[in-house]
Amino acid sequence: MNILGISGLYHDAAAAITIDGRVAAAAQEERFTRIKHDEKFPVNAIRYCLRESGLKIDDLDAVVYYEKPGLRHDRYLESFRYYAPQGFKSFVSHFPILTKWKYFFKNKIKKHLREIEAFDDSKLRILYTEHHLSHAAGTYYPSGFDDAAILTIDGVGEYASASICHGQGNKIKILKELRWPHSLGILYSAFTQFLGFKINNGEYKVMGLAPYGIVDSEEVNRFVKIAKEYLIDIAEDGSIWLNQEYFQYATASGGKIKVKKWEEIFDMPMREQDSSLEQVHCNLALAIQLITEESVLKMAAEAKRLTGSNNICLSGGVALNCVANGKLMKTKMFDHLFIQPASGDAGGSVGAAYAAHYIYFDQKLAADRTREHVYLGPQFEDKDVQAVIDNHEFGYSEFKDDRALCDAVAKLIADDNVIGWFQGRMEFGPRALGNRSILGNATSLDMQRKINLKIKFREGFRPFAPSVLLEENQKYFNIDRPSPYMLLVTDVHQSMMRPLPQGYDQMQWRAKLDVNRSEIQAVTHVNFSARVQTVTPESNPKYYQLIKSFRDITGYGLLINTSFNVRGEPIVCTPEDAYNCFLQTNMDYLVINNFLFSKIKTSTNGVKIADLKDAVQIHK
Amino acid sequence: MKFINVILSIVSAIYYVFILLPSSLLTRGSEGRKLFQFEKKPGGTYFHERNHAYGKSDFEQG
Repeated sequence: MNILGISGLYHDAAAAITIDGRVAAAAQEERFTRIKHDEKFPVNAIRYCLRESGLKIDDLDAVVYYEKPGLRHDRYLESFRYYAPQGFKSFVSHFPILTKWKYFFKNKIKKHLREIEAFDDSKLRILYTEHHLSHAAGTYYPSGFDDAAILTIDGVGEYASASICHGQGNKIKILKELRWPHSLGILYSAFTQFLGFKINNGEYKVMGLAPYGIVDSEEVNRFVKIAKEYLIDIAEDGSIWLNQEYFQYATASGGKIKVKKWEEIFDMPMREQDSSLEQVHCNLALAIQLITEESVLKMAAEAKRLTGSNNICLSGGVALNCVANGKLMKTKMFDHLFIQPASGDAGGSVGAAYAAHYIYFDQKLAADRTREHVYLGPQFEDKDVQAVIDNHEFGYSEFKDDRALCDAVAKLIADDNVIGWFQGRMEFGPRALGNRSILGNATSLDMQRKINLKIKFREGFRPFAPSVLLEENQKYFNIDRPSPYMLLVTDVHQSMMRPLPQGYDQMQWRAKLDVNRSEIQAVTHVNFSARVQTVTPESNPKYYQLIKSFRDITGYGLLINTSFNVRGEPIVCTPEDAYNCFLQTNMDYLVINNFLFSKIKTSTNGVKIADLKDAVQIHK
Repeated sequence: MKFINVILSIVSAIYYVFILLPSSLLTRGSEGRKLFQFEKKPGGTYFHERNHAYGKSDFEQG
């Protein structure tokens, strides 16, 4: 059974192919077009998925789009009917497109597929899933559970913005849903806008900023109180209601909030993009984080009550809120927790394909359907690196085997060099998990600043996540389970903490950033939290070996792992993307497969690295 | 293609003025509209019941 799942046209377009219920390939369109969050129909991603899985369009049993354009159209109509005569301009610009999609969407899919290759029109079966079923299926089926509560939370799909489902065997039953215009995801985006970050892009930044807020301070408590008084009501079951008097997303494009009204209630101006970040912004970020956590935890409790299951699967954009996920883990409400690594709309492509396989075609659960990895994107052979070698002006080395490469690179990292690490198949989802990563020394005091400012060209406050050997996980972090997808935030172990200056908790955010607070400073956030990725020999053998080599040199079995991109660009896909990123930044070395590129001009052969016995030195 | 979009925009504008706007005025108090009104429900829920097991027919209609 071969199924192509497609998501996109709003943001984060992607494609995935399942063969007999297992994902053979999946990729996000942005990686090919180099346009971040590219929403266009994912022609390039589909082309890749077909090539990778060795299929033609005629071999597909179904093509499944991740939501229902007709229902989305109807929801738009409802919104505009309510707000009329407001929203006329937005209606005239959006409604024709949505109407065309409602009635002619199959034609649109066929037209784009024809750009890829010719196929037999009469054989092509086009299906649709509900948006939140795509999310639910995308997390339940690869979880490995036979019975689980499923909680999906995002901005909005057709009508639903959150759902509680019950997965049993190969079936999914939806129990409850939260409906437009009430949405936890949109609320978070609204605060993202007010804090001067881009919607659908800056939510991570708000999450990273929140720990700089002063817990239990008068200002944070006041912000939470104001939000609950004017903007939101959270019911005991976690469902929410947003006061539309303060929002404009239902009819206007571009912004979520009525800025003047927000400025009045919070008694502060909206932050301009790229303007200075003050403590008040951190406190507001903490306030919305606390509100989000309250709602998520209550919804999870409701899911537990309704299903009685000991397992929970999470998906939807809000499931990428690792802090909320970490808090849910700590409650021990559920014995087991699975989070779809591509929880955003890109992952809807995988979910749509799974849903069709298991529900539409009624296939039995595959015996080994757990996804041990997220490495579903393209990979490149050594011959594909040739163009990079031809352009490279400086020295480089080629290593005979992985072990020698890992030992040499570990030494470079131990010497506080920053490495671009490009290996194997690209990750699917927003996290780089050791195949398209920038790596650094987690024990270095200045590494966070160096990578943020000189390499990623992004805000200095943003934290970095650690990749840690699974067996050493509990030495550094308070976590009792694997976290293979970097989707759980937990606390750094007490033994890693350094004595803090008096009054640390009340310090302003910039001062906190400079405090030497941990042995693993670069991956310890100011509130002693860390977003952990555990690595095993099974999940990523080469990356595991690299961290192990680093441990053998330094005694620390963990590295900084951040995505291989710069601010505003998608994660690199090809060797050329990686090389361009390497040249444009202050990254010290680049590793592609077993090639090590430096920026050191050498008069002799290759790169000057001590003890490089196993490297094949090559002339330029 | 652009010409079609212009035509569709004009049709949308006509639809808005002559159908959507009057229907908006006539249905101000209807049940479906309450989704947009802020009414706190102490002790209540904002979830909508679905209780629906997905099946084959859920995939066919876009």
